[in-house]
Amino acid sequence: MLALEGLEGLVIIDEIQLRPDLFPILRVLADRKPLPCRFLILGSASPDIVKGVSESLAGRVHSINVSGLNLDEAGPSDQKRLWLRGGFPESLSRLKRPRRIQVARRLYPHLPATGPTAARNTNTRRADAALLGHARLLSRKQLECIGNLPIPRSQKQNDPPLRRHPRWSVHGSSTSTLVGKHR
Amino acid sequence: MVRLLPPWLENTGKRLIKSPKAYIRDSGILHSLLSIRTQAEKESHPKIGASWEGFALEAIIQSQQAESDAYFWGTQGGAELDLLICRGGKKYGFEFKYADAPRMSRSMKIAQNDLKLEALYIVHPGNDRYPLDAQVEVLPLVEATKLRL
Repeated sequence: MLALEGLEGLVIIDEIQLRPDLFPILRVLADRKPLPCRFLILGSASPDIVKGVSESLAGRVHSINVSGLNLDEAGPSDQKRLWLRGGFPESLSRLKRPRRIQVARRLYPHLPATGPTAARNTNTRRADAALLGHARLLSRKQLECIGNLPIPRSQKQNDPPLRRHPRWSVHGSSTSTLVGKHR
Repeated sequence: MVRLLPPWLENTGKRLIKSPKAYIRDSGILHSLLSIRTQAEKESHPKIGASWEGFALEAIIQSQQAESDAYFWGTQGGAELDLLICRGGKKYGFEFKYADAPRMSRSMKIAQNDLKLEALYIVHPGNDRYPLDAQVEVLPLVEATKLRL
């Protein structure tokens, strides 16, 4: 708090998921009037952290979900390459493909609870599990295992416009139990 | 990393699928996990259809800014629609086909009739665009991302 209090202008905090304890401090700092600075917080959007944000920074924060390069940005003529390599700039531009270990590394920041070495193996396994579920249906049980998502208890079949579907967009740590269900 | 696509539930007198579908959002990560390194390996891989579905779906949801109104639809009978986008009370359907010249399937007709779709787009990796029916059109991904829904 002491370190952050004196700053002015735009303050950027990277990898916020490593220090979720900053959120309560940011709340106090963001409530100062007049506000001497703005905070740009970068990092993983894993459900736990988003939860922290919505609890402590409600009304003070606007979140932007950043994805990889899209078809427009990569150029429509590069569609084949984008499809093969994906939208992360390094893997799109580099001649080498993203390796499994890099994939695991990318997943690692989403799992602050596990240690670096353990996480690498665990994440590889979790990613494998997620892989089985790609473009498949998930059972309710599998869903409930995924990062404490709010699932409506009774999904009646009528009246769809009146019901708000939760936005099921999951990141990082939630890939653990995405095992595909065959119909 | 993972997108869960919620089911669209509407009473059409049929038993609907109520579990969401999961996609790995980045196709590069998917291919890396599948140990696909080259275009040739991708094209001969049994999962290429699912890969195209995920890649095209992500591109369309992003470009159409449909994060909160994108669904899939399926019945227990086997008919399904890969992506349903609801805009201004109208429903637009998308089917992703890894094929040079996709055709109408029974499943698409059922989706079209049951959901009363405004339009049904069949998105394929090729460059051709042609209509199959008054409301059904085959089109390349680039054009699908630029549709005005």
